[in-house]
Amino acid sequence: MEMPFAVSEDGRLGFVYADKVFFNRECVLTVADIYAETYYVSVVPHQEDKVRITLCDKHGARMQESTLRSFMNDLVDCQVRLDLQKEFGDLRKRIVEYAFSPVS
Amino acid sequence: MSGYTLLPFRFRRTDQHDVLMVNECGDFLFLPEQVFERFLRHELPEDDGHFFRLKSHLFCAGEDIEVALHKTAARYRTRKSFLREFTSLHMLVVTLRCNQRCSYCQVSCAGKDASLYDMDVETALKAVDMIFQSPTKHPKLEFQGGEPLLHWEVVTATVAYAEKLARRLEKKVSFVLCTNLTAATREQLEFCREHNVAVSTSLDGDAAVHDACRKDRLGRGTYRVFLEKLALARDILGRDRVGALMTTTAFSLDHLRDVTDEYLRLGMDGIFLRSLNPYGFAAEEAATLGYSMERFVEKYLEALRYIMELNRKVFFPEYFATLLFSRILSPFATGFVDLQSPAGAGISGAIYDFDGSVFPSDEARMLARMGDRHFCLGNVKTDDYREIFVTRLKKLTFVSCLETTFPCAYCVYQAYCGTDPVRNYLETGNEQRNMTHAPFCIKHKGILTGLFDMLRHADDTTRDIIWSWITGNAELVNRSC
Amino acid sequence: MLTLKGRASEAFSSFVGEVTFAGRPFYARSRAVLVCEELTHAAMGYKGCITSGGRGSWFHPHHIYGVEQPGLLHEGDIVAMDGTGTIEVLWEEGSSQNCLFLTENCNCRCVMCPQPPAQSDPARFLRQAEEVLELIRGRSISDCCITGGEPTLAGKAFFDILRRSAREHPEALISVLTNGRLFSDRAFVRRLAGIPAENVLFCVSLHSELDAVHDAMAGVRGSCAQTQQGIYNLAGYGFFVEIRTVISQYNCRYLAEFAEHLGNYFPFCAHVAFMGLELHGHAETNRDRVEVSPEAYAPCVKDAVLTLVRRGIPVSLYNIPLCLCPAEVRGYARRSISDWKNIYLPRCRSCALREECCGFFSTSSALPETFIKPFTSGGHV
Repeated sequence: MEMPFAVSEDGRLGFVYADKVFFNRECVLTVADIYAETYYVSVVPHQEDKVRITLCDKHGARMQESTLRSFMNDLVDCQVRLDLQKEFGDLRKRIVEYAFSPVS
Repeated sequence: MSGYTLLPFRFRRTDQHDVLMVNECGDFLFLPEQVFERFLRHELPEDDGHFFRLKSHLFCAGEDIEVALHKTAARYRTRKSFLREFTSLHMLVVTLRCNQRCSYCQVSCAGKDASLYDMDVETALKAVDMIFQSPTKHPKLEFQGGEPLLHWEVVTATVAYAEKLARRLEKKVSFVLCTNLTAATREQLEFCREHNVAVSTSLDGDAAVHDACRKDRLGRGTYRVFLEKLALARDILGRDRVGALMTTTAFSLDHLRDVTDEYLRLGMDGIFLRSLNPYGFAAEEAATLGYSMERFVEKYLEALRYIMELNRKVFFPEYFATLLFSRILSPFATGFVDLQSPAGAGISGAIYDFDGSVFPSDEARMLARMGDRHFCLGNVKTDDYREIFVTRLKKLTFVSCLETTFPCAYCVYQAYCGTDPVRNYLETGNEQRNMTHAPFCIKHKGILTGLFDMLRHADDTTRDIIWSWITGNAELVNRSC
Repeated sequence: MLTLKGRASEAFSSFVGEVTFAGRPFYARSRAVLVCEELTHAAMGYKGCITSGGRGSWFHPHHIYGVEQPGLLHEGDIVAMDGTGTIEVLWEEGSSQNCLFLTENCNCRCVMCPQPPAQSDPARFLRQAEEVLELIRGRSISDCCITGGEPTLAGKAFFDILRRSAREHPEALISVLTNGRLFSDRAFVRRLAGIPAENVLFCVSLHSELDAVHDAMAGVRGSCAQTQQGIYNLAGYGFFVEIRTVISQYNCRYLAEFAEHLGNYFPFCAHVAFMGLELHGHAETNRDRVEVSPEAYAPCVKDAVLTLVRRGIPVSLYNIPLCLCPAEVRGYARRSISDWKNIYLPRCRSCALREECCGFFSTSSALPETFIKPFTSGGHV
């Protein structure tokens, strides 16, 4: 079975495989954005149903497995947030609307 | 599938296998991870104890959803009520001259005799005219510098004029003098007493710490003179009208307990452990004075725990923790210009430079002194209120909301935090930046995480202490022993 | 309210009058009720008489005779008397616990209601309330409580009576005991316009923020949401609101969380009162579902009270005797049970704190005897 993440042989690159069934485009790009400050990030399709995210430290430091695990956890949380936003985004608008409406 | 509706919230997984959840108006709870998963999938039974807690803290609702939204909105409205007052803190830089030259000073001090850097009376009065056009009924005028005592005639003229306008417009004006006190005369302090001007001064710690950075223009420490003048000021104005602030530098970072002890020894009411702002002189001396935000967070929390212990014997709040605890635990409104969304810069506070230029914050003014007038809103001598506080300020407001900043938009601490677009611009050239590695975020995220940790392990006495700070009611803590 | 019984002189319909023992000059007798040991010519001209003695003659005013203990009445009390021989004290002079009873009707079916509502025409009660207000006009009173059933069901009369009491007695605290449901409608709240808010307090019953719990206690689905909305609307229009919570098996274990919810979302409330059960009426019938032992409620009450104390929200405990209060919150217990309604146990005679204690409801069918213990003078139980 293919692991969802891996470190390259020379230890410089990290790979994360995200299944498109679980993580949508917005999710992957949002998480990539978080890591983009410290790492060079690339996102490419992988097989039919996945994307492969490649991480490389901007200062050439060795890639740690823990970083890739964090990335995966961040994908999960990000997708949860995106789904929640769909679910209660309207309610959030209503709360702000009620908060700023004048007392009738 | 249960019939409950999720109400808007943000979350963060902790290292204790649970999840911190914060709703749209700042109410929070910790939920075990598995319960969280079931809750999200709408599979949590409605007679479960956790479900009742989630309902009680407005993370979900049933048929009562309409009233739940109104309750959330009411507390949300209170959270944002600082907007109603609009600009109430107005800082006037009456001179750039100073009799001291402190290492971390943000103001490029000119020599004592350079009166080109004084605010003339005409400019000051124009500034007051503009200040009273702000909708707030409680304008607060803060005299800053350099050292305002050195250009005293403008202070007295401004106070007189502001009092006149306040009577005419039926507003209640208050005054604060930000001063190092070392040049204060009896006459000046008596003026402050007569016109109810509060004094805000600086005390970095004991003699060693204070003198390490706060020196006169000949490089001598000012601690001894300061203590004499502090006693004089307290004598004339009364203890409760003289407050002190400290700035943490590398010299004091490892000795915050000692600084606290010094404040206690001098009979101060409490302490505000402030971190260093990396502008002006400090940027050049960052190596000597500076420290990482991670270290500041660590030391701050250590000092806070020390102060909590002290509070079992004496009422002595730490003011930054008090502010954050208020936001976490209570629905009360909290005005604190430096940590608001939209940013307090301009909306809550504005600063008037010696030449009449208006800036939304002191950092913006410092930026101008370094050559970049990007944030200048205008000048009291040439522009009117609308141009400055509506047209130009609006542009800044658009880029100063947490709700639309990445990744603050979904940060669990959003309800308690704020933005500083000027700081962002200084660090990256943009008012909005990815906050993930910003020192501003590291500091506030770190401190809030520490405070939440304190809350979960708090015993009854700790709770009483925290609430005594929030409400100012010292009696809440049983100190008889 | 206090009720005395005797025998009516003849059949007469109910009327209201002001009690006098001392007697009045002729011109001041038409609204007064003379209390006397026997009926003589001195009773002429009064609206009515109350006597411990025997029946008077046909020329005496309508009277009720053979009344035991007429001394329970005070000069200035306002009574309603009718042909059944019943004397109801509608208003007790000098008391801070007087009520204007507007209706027996109620739009809730509380599982612990000590006085189950009847469906009746409120007209009689409204008329009596107006007559009481007429008779106490000009007096200085301390409190007046507008209650029922559910007083807001009286419609226009409710607003009129509230407006009148608040305006005619700015020196008094006018409290309204209500479930607040009708105030969830803003149009209804707007009818309070013109009523001074300074001396009016709406005491709204809210037993939990959780609709499953409150609705079960109030017996009406949706009442929790309506009551809360009502509280918000009242506060939004500038009125003072107090929240009253009855402690029962349904809500006891959630009391501390409820207190925190009040602190978070009802910080404007003027006062919170946690109330012990009166084991009478529906509370008695549903005893096994509502009653909760002092052992069980003590820690819950303690946490709830301290939660509010920390936040600076005024809080009281009503109807909980001092020996059943956790020590930390004993200071918040009040003498809440009306004097004519409270009793003490024989063992309470030796209690050092008896004078400050509310005692028990004389109407309660049972008391938690095992837990009741007198305090020694050291303040210990």
